[in-house]
Amino acid sequence: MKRHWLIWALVLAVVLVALIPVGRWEARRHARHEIAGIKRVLAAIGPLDSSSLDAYRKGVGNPGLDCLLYKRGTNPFALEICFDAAGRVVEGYDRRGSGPKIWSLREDPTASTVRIDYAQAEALLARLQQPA
Amino acid sequence: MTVRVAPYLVAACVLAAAAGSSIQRQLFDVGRPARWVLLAALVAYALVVAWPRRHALRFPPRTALALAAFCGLALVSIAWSVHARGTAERAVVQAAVVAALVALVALRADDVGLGLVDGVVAASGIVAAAGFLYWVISPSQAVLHATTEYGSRFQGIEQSPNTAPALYSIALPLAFGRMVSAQGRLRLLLGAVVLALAASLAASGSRGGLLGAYAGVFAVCALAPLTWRRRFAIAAAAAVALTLSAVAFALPKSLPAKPLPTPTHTVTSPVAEAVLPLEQEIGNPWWTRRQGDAHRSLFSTSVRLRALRGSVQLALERPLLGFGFGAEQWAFFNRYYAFNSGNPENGYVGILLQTGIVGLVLFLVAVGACVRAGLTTWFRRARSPVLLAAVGGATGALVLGISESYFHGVGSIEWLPFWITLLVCAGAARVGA
Repeated sequence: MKRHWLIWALVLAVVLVALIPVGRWEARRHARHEIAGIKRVLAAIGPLDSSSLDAYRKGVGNPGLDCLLYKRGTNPFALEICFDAAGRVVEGYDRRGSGPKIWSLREDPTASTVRIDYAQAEALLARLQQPA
Repeated sequence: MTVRVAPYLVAACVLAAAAGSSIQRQLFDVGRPARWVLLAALVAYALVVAWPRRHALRFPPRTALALAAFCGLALVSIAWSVHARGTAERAVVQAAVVAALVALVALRADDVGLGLVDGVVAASGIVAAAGFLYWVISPSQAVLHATTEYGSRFQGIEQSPNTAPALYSIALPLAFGRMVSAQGRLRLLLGAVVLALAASLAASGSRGGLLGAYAGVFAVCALAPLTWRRRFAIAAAAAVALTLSAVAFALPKSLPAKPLPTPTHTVTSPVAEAVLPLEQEIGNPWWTRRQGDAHRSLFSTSVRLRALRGSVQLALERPLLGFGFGAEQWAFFNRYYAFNSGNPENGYVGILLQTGIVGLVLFLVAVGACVRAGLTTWFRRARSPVLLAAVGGATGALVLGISESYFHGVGSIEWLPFWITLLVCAGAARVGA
């Protein structure tokens, strides 16, 4: 009887260890999906300093992200990217439809491989922060 | 040694957790570190008591396997967690404490289960009494003042009106179950605890806590070895108490909301956070073009449902194994209009988010095995007062999980009582060594 349960415990341990590559694969797959969405938002925005740059956010959430927002038509917040201090684009927002489409790696910013010129982005933020 | 120490140790653990979430600064500073020390003491105590009798420990093996599978998944999820350190801390404490409680209830000494349950009941009575005392001394601190969402709510010594009620929703059925089978002075004492917990719950306006507590009380009513007349009389009294609590919830009026300008996409400020905050985006009037209404009534659930829907969608982005056990606070972002929480406020969705479908299934199997063991034992007429109380407590805990995400929350006020009620249920099953 004791041996019987020992075998079960061993099987359980093997199955649990076998789940590790599955969990990691799922994490990578999720990151790829979010990165693809963020890239689509960046492509829709075009150059960061385009004339449609309309609004900003500074130090939102944890980690504190900075964001640049671009207008399309009458929608002032149509497209948005949020980036961290390392220049990694962590979030992308597409608000051109009837609700927001959000791609986010805020839970693990290091997983983002999408980068922007941080100095340029901060210069654009500084310009927006100046009183009109 | 077993009988004498268990209730004090459990009570100390629950009290430290209550202090660790207290609004009172001195209590908070003591409680935060003390809860880890006391949980470690509980594990050490279980080891010292159970090791010499390790060959005589009796616990349903399938239930043990189910618990091991869930705790094991929590441990291996460190490998894919979005916050490996947070997952490691929670998974190790969870596995150690669950193993310790299993060892204690597997001693098969009736007094051990009783000691664990009484420890929770005693600590809850002390928390309720401390809350009342704090209200007498410092009424403005013990009450959360009215907002545009809620009327004023009693919070006692805790930081939120929902914190202590989470404990009471498990402890009230435990105390009630113990009271039903107790005699003499003990019954009077338990009756006083039941009244104190019920009054605190009613004053807190915590809907989830109220629902869990009375679900547990009705479970005790249904199972208790009473005549049908007494059973109906007690159930009717509980129904009246529930109704009065609901009326008490509706009495304090929320503040009148200032009329908001009609939402428009015409923006004059470049500060997007002032117009459409990221933490209030989904369901925001900016999108709906309607006036935002955040007022909460007894039955309103739209805000929670919005967050719940979003949480399920987020969980399905990593559907199999989730974001890592205990990593809920890093995986979940509150993007929901009028929702004021850092988690989905649903324990089952919380487990789905952290450990995926595999983890949720393992969790439900483990919980189901514990409850099934307790109910099977009860219906085989192996009835003990502690089992009755534990089944009531487990019912309250599982119903509470619909409105609170706490199953993974090691060190939180309701986490240890949750596992105690479940494992006392499981430990009641008749099994070989």
